[in-house]
Amino acid sequence: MAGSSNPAIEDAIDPRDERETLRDYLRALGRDKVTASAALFLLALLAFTAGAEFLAPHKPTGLNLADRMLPPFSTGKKGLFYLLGTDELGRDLFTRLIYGARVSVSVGLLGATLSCFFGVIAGLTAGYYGGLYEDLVMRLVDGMLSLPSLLVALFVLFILGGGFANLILVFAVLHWMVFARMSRGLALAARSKTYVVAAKAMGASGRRIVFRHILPNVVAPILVLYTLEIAILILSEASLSFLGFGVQPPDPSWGLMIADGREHIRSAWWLVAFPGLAIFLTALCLNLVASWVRAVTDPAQRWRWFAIGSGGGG
Amino acid sequence: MNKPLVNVEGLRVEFPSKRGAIAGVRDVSFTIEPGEIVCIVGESGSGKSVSAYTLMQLTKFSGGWVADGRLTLECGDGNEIDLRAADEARMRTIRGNEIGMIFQEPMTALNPSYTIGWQLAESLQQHRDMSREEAAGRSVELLKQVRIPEPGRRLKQFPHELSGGMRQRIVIAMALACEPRLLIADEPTTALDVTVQAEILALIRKLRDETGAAVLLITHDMAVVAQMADRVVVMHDGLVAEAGPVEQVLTDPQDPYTQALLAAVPKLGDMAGKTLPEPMETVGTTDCHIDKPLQPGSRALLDVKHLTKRFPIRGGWLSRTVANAHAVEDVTFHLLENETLSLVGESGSGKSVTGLCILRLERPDSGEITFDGQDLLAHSDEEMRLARRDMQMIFQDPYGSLNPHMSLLEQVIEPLRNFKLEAGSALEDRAAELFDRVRLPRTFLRRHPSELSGGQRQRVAIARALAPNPKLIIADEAVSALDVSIQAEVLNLMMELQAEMGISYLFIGHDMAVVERVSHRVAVMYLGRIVETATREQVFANPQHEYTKTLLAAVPTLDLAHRAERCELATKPPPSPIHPAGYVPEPVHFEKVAEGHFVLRSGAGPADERKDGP
Repeated sequence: MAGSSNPAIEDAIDPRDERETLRDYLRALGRDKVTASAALFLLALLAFTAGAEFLAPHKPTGLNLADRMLPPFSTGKKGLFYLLGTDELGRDLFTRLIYGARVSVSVGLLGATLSCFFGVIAGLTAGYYGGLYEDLVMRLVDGMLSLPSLLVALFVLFILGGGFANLILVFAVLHWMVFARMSRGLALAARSKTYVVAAKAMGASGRRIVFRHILPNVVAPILVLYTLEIAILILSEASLSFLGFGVQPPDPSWGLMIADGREHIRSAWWLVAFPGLAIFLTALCLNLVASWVRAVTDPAQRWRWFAIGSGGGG
Repeated sequence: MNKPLVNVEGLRVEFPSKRGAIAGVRDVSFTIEPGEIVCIVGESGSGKSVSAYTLMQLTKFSGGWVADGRLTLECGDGNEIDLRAADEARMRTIRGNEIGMIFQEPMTALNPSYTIGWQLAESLQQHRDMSREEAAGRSVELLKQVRIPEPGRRLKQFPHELSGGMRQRIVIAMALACEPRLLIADEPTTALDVTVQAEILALIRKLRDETGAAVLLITHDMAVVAQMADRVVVMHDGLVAEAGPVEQVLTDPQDPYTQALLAAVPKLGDMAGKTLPEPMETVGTTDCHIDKPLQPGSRALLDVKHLTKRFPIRGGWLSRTVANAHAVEDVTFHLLENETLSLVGESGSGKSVTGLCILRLERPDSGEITFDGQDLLAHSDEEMRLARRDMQMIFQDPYGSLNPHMSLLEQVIEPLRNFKLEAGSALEDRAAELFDRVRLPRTFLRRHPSELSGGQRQRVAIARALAPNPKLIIADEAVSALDVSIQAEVLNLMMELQAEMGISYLFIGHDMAVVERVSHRVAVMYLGRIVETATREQVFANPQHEYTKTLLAAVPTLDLAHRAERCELATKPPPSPIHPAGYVPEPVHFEKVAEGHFVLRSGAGPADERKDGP
């Protein structure tokens, strides 16, 4: 039985505990140093993205051929300080990272959100209802997964033209299958859970069971996939922009910056390293924060994060 | 006796919580003499498992720590080990070597990806430095010791190829592998059928006699205590309520908690001579008010005829159906208004599937189900959804049947919302009313299931089933997962609601003592068929079918005079309801023994299959 298998947890829960307040959450976050730093990083990223005009030290497209290819922490000819160095046109790398975050983060977020939305709906319903509908959806998924996605993206963007909106649309079309396949598996497993059978016995309709009973219980793994997809999409955006079908230069994006810096990787490592680091850190922090949010919102698990005593927060 | 094997003094174990450390176990002391069986008995949350797990320093894996007390173990070489101070490396030599552990769930205690032989040999090679051949030889010996037939063949099998009882014997064999001086058994039979439980308990006693290992048995079941214990430690709320020799504790309990616990155990034969179900007597709580006898009506509410459900087993080329699991085979019964019919049987008997078929949560293959004048199998899906308004279900496991992510309020009003019975603020009023009805505080409405105990959860499940005012409630093992005192309360509540609201129950269960308490009529199921159906009195006073007799004999009792000293250990796997695709089962033929008492005389003969073997 679920309860008696872990007697210690049974013993430690005080059912009289009241609801957690915002302060409890902040305190729990404060005790978890790694997640707290991740959250701070994401907050800073958002702040820089929103306030790029005020916070960036230079102009993103400001050419300064005199200060070309300067390494990080160098001062240019006119006494300008470049925190992360400059690129082959003498533009400040730090400034471009800040502006690039706008494109990269929004492409990643919007693309992942859209594909998650459609993929989860298709996958959960397919897994729950089964039958011919499931076969149709899943064969479509298999078919689309076997397409070479970069080629399809190039083709579609060639016809529709590049640019921000089309990019996101193409990402949603090419990435929903991952979510669909995972959600279907989750729905299949959830379908036989007693609480789902119980919901059916209580007269819940199919739609209600899928979205009200199953979805909240399978959010955790979907959330993890979602954060991974954001990172993947930021990278895909890089490839497409590199090939000229994504964001158009001179507008910066992290992917475009890596692509541009690639040819100078021997002489100017920072041109690739810092945008790469930005993508890596963003994905990592999203992941850390997502798994923390998942854990503290899980009604059966969250007591660990609020427990005071030896090494709570596990 | 000289020195005790285990000595625990003033043990205090603490766990982290939102308000700082709380004590899970306080001031617990007990000793275990060599070769003695000590039972720690208590309900969930009483600290019984924590106390035992501390001996192996296993509490720390769930976040707890020993705050105070002395724990010593007398080693084989005569030295005394301080179990509290021992470091992890020392503990590894103690676990398995000095102390063996038997877990509750034989399904999960074995690794499904390795053979039995591999898993047995692993600990032998680790702890005893045996070569592979030596380990294999010793494994065969161990399997013989736990009375497993054809041990050589078993070693090559995987856990899923064995029945639950066999698997638990393997787990016991693994615990015995290094000849420990103490066996800790944590609810070793709770997950098993009653007939298998009797076998495993007898086996543990036998092994104790043969090997001289002491046994620390953790259980919630007083009947298991009566069968097994030399001495008993009764725990309640993290404290020892009472301790002493088993005769003294069971026949002359001093502590009021022990008395209440004993009173709450339903005893087979309590209801002899009574025609109608009656609530249980509980000590201390007198919250059950039934003022009229539970007299069933005369109109049939539910009529099930020739119900059949087979699950196809696919395999081979193009995944054809190669065999069928005959879950429910030609089952016929009826249920009157305001009546309780119990479907009794062990796991795999088809009793739960029958319940699911009635609600059409499983689609039957053939048969007729008439409920309240409606032909349920002719309904469309939407008509069926609406028909469920009058037929609700309570499931066995209140940990699984409540959605962990929904507040209790939402769960209780779920049926009202689905059937559009109430709306707006009336929903909350009705939920509060239902909580009053099942005696849960209204403040609980905002909570989530994980914040409740098992008994409280089952009350929520009952409140939810009551919400649309159903005519029929199918209670699928509704009290099996609950502690005895809570079981008594929930049973009484169910009977009270029946008296008040005229509900009919289809009570699906395996515990004959509980069934005797609540039912008007009983149908015994075995391998998908009803083998005997009769009034409660007829079944218990005059069981006719072999299987019914086996089931009744296997019920453990509190009677110390009838300890199951000799219980035959089944050596053959239980007969299976899986038959090849073209198999046509024998038609059923019932013999009428008395008015309303029918016994299956053809087709099954299953009880005979069980008997072969030595």
